[in-house]
Amino acid sequence: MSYFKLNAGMPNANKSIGNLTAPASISADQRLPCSSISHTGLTVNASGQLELSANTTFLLFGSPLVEDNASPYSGSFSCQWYDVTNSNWIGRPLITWAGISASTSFMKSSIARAVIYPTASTTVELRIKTVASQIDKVNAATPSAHWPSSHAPYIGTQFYTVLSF
Amino acid sequence: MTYQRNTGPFIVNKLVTSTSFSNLSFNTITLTDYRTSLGVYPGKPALNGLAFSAVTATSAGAQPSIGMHRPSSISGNYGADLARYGLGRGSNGKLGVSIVQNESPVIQYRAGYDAGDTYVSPTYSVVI
Repeated sequence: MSYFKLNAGMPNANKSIGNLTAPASISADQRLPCSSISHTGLTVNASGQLELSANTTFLLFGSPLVEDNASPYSGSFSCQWYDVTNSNWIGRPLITWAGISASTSFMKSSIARAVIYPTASTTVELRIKTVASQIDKVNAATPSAHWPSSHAPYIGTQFYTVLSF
Repeated sequence: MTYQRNTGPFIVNKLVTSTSFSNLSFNTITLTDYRTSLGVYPGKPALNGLAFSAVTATSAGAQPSIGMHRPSSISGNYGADLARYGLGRGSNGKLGVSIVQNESPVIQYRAGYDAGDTYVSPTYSVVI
């Protein structure tokens, strides 16, 4: 008989989850602020940006929740991690479409993700890349029920995660 | 007895049997098919790590299923998944996320409108 000894995750990896808060305005290039977390090699500044230490590999994930509460209840949204220090988009974006028909629901990407190994202290943020004017809530503190009203609101929360080693 | 060191950071489990819900309350989907780099794990291990999960569903009626999932009963409530498209909400494809602490990852899910929504494979979670 063989047994598997399951190790408790990656021994040298730090893993954290934090919340995302609402942007100052719902428009392109606006920051999606990260709430404070305690994570070795990383500091969340007062603006909700992540200040990454040098010579560490970071895997960043981000997933905001968007709402379109006005007819025709359909609009696109994308966001991506952005290297503020070097003025570069990094990783791949989250792309989503709030829409009921199959023809508008195909455009999707589950999560914004990036891998970065800074050689100097680097500031990054999760940033709106494109947003349709119909999107009226992003990372709402209290999600709202939507049309028809018997539909439940979001029960999860917007989040970002960091895995580093 | 063989101990496998560093079995790999990835533990994958998935829904094997389709699950239909009869109400709109929170339901727990138990995922039993644990896979590691060495194959199927015989049992239901307690794990520590960062868990991502995704749900695939079919809707009982014309309205889309819009409930969202929590990948862990203890430290979940982060992230969500629209099992199908939802009017006025982000389309399906979002992942749930949680940190599991000495527990077997499960997915909690609530149908949004149709009580008979069914959750099918490939519903899964990954722990790293």
